Amino acid sequence: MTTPFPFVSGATLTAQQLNDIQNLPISDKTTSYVLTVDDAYKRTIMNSASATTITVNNSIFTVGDVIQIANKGAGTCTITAGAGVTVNTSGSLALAQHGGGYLLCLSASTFTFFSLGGIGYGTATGGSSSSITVGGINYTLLTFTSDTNLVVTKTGLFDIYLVGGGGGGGTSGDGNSYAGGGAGQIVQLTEYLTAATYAVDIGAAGAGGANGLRTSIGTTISAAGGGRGGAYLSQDGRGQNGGSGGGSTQGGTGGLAMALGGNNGGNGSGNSGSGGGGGAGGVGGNGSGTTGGAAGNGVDVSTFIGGSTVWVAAGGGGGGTVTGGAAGSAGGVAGKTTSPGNNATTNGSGGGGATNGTGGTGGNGIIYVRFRI
Amino acid sequence: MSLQYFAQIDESNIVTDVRVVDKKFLEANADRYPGTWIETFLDKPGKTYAGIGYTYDAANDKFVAPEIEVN
Repeated sequence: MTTPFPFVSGATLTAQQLNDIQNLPISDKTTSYVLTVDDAYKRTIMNSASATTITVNNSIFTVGDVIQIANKGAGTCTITAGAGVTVNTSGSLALAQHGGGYLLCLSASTFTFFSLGGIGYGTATGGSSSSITVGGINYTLLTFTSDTNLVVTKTGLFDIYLVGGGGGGGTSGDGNSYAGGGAGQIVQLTEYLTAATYAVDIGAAGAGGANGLRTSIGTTISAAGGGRGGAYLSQDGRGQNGGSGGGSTQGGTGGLAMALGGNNGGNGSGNSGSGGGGGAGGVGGNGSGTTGGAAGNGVDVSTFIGGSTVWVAAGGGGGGTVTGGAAGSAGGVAGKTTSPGNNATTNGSGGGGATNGTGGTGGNGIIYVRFRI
Repeated sequence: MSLQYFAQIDESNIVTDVRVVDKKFLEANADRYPGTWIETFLDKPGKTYAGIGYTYDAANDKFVAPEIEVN
């Protein structure tokens, strides 16, 4: 529909046109756009899969003018102040898909944007900051590899990816093989955080014979550490339960995944082929004869942080008296026929099993926090 | 910068926690890190990385893995 707005002197309005005034015209855009005076009292709707901007320049609008802006595309549409212009908002100027609101002109160079249509992303600082693009959407990414604080500077939504510390490989000294450690749990969620400071605790790697430790933000968001690998004569050789379970030895059943998304460790074969630790991407392999079980697969976190493949949360290969368990191709380390075992090389992964000695250490946990820009 | 690790020990020198934390941050946040903390090293020759249940040997400044529990 159309209206004769803005009205001009001498215009004659029909009843239909008067009724239509209640339904503002729509101006569809598919690329970045600069508002003009004709956009006042209309709906400017962006529809693009890529990131776009809608810019408001100085001395274009009159005090009291209102422009409706909405974004129905997958790409973030950011309301941008032109040179000398200030746009204030209590929400976000970055409109996620299906976000929108009203832009009110308070002076030639000052506007307020009243955000509607859902909760926007917040902003925060902490860790190591970088800019990423995932699926055509631009984010600020905060990466945390040691204990510190997450400082939320603006309340809103945050995409969060936590990985618990990986468990260590089994440890003993009796000539037998020991199992691989389990991976830390992966927790991915979108969380509404209010402006405050949150303690960030990175789950430390499990030493040989020790479980991985918990990774957390504040008191309510956490990912469990991985279970350690089993060792001969210890609790029937069974790997410990954890985010993913540690492998077992001595014919025992692999440790159990006690957390959502984890996988069990592999079973042991007698005392000579121990199980691989469970990974977030798959179970640990069973030991067979004198060969250790393969490491459970990890998960590629690049779907969250963009860029090329980055593995996290794999299991450790089981130790074997003749052949160590395979590392696989998804972030794990191999089991060994000697001691010490291989240390994990990817975050949140289990340490490799050894034979007659100390298991490898796991990998530290890690946290990624991203928000749209 | 390489990561730093600290192990919390109890009155019996048993390790009760291990954190990945910068020394300055740990010292500046004593309420968050109560008790006694000893630096431990991962991948450093001659040093044993501490795990929960390990014992700190203060005389030799090293961590010792626990004895395996026999069934």
